[in-house]
Amino acid sequence: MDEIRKILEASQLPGGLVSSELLPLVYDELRALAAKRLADESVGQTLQATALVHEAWLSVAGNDERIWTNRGHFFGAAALAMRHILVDRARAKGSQKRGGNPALLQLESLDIADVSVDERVLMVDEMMTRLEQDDPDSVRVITLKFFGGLTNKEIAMMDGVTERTIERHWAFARTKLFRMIHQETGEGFQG
Amino acid sequence: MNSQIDRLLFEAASSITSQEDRQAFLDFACQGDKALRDLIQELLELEGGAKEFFELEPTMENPAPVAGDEDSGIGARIGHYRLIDRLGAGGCGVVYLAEQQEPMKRKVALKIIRLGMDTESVIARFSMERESLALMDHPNIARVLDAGTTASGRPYFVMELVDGEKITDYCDRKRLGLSQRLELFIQVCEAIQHAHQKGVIHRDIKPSNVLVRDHDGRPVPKIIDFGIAKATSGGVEGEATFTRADQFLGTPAYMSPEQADGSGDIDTRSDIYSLGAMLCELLTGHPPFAHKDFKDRGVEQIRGMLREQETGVPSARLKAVGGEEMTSIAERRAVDPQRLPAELAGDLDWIVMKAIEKDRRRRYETANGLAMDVQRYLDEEPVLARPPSRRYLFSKLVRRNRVLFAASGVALFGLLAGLGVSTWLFFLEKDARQQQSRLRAEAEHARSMAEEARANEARMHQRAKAADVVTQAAVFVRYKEMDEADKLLSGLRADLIPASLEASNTLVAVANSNLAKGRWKEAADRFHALIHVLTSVDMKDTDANSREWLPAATAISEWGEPWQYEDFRRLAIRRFATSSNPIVAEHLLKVTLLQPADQETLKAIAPLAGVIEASLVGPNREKDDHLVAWRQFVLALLAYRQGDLETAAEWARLSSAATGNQPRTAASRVILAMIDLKQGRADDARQVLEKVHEEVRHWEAGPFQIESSYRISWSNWGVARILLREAEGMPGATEEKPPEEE
Repeated sequence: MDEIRKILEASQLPGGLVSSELLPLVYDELRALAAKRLADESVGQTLQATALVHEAWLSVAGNDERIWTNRGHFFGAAALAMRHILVDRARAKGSQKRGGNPALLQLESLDIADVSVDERVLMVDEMMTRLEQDDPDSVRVITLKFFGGLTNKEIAMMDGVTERTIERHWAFARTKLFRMIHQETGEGFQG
Repeated sequence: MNSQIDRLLFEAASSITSQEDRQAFLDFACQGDKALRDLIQELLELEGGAKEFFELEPTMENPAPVAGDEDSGIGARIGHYRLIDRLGAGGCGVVYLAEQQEPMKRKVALKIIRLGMDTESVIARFSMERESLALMDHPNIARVLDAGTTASGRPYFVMELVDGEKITDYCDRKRLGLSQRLELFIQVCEAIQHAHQKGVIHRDIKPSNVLVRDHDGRPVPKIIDFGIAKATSGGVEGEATFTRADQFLGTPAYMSPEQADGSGDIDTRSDIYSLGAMLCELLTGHPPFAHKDFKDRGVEQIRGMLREQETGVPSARLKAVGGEEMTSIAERRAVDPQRLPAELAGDLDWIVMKAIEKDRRRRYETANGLAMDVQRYLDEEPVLARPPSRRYLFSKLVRRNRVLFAASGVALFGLLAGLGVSTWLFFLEKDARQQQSRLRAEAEHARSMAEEARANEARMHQRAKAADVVTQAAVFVRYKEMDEADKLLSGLRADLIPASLEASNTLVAVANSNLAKGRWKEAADRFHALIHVLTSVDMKDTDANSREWLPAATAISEWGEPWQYEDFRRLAIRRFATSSNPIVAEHLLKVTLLQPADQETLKAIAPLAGVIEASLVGPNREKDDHLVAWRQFVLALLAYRQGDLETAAEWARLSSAATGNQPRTAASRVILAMIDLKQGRADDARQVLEKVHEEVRHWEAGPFQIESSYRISWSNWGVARILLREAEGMPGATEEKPPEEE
């Protein structure tokens, strides 16, 4: 926690870039927090990823003004970390269901309307990986919105653009990604 | 596909609500590019579905208790362990409080290594180290109990649970003064010494790996993570400290330059460096290089810093800090800020500097040596570590003697033994085909290991004690307390004395002091011990090493036990009989032939005659009359011992004709006399022997000098006297008188 604060205090990175030293720390922090929250709840309870990120943020920053200015940096790292955490969890659970065989999801055989949250996460992750090369900006927006749970306003402040810009970009990015899933899973789905 | 254009078109089109206008816009914008138009059209149609799809936020579920193998959720099970709570995160992983279920129920610490490490090789490296880790049994070392792989493929380690706080935090919180900190530090050194003797190097000693807690009102340190740094180092030894992205794992603030260099050539002295860096922080609040010094620097820059940049002595660096920070550093040590630098200046400065020498040969040789020096400081005794002016003298001695420091003799021995065994076990491990015989072998091995370990420990203990004694004696010698030094050394077994420059210098000094005081027997004993030191250090084939031999051989032959001379002769031959250096050859022949030798000995040293003869002929022949005469002398002596009297006489005549060294000439003449005796010219022989006898008596009558004003060593006279006694004992050497009873 202190280490995260230290890095944030010192961070002068332009909006959007995540320093490599921050990421693993935030990753551990989030995992621990998630594990703790889940342990408190009874079986079957769910924990929203975005709520988790915000809670982690509050526990790191408290009321510290100096750090608040670097909020974006933290959320950027947290969104990336959440993506890893959620994908790891979904994979582990999926492999259990398939009798310990961690084979990749068979996208063709899925009905999008009927997919579980975990399968959804795996699909999004898979498509984001494919999209990364071609359109990294969209992948970033998806990371921040879907995994990080940031509001348009928060991202707009980080990037120094208007909220409206972020909203439109998000609409494009998610549609583009959805199209890829749609193509993979065939025609069995009703938009 | 240009995603920028796609995006612009999509955003623009989707903001147009009228279907008609939207189609018109797309017709215009796509300009007949049908694929593009179709794409945008499709995206627009999917927009609603996408919104819905992403509306469901990703969530995490509470894992069902039986799910079991989610690796780092609290409550999850990993192997025999159930995770209870998260204790903290370190450089390479997260540590959990866990409960072991079987074979017994107990709480342990479980460390899961961060993703991105090659699990298989981490586990393999750990298995190799396992056996030596198991040998460590020390109250200040946390045991590593187990290792394995989580369901998601991350390596984990299970350690004895240690309840305590980081040593630096503990000291600050308790406001421990300098001497309390030093006492705590000594305990840490002793634990590290134990590990080194078992062949385990920590490789990651730093404050956060030394946890302290109170036990009966006394602080007790415990060192954690033994064996883990090694297991998690890169695949090749050389990549030890770097991740694939070529970034340092953890902080280089406590890392020795050789470890940072990634050369892979790491020994126990790397841990000494880390101990020194930690001591620096305990004393001054900062390690030699502060964490901020490494900020924004690349790996190569950091390596360069550790290799070359001088840190300055701790007291001076503390003064440079100054101001408020200095005040708070001093307060945490219950010291007046004005006085803190002065308290550190001098001995403590030099102890730290010696421990963090960039050249590991100049560091303390063992953790024990470091601890002892700190203890000396606490006892207000003079410390070994000294400022450069004195070290300069020391290094001159090194150059003069060319006796290299043994690579921390004691610990290295343990290290090699440990590695050999664990490598063997590793291969054993691999051989799954013969499971049965493997198990049997392991059981037998475990038994013999335990026995060996006990014997080993006793031996190590003796060696460590001997090393301590030698170090203390060295201190006495420096302060000219020769009798005290001699007293300490007198109780040591020669074969236990560490092979170090310190030991050899100390022994020479003490032996000479005994000679000067006429304590011949004691001198012989010290010289005997010296030979063990000189011949067991791995050295180049230089005469600087063999130079001490003649006085040693003479003293041992004159005043030592017969077995001591035999022992000496055996060691000397084993070490140098294959030398091609004519000076070494001359020394060796001289010292091994002082007394009659058996056929085996003569055979072993015979090749050296060739080396010497070759040095006396040809264009490159030796021109120094003094050296030539000595070589002629030893050739005469060898031929005489071999029974080749003609050759012996030839060389002895040449040697006895040379001037400039009275005892050498005398000794050569004794050889001629002995030949005369054997060939029946007793009268000639007696005449010569009487004359030499007189010369020797004359020398004896004078005050004993290690070296005379003509730069002739006492041992040259010793050689003449030993040979003279031999000759006088031969039949016909003394006229008609029957030998007197002694």
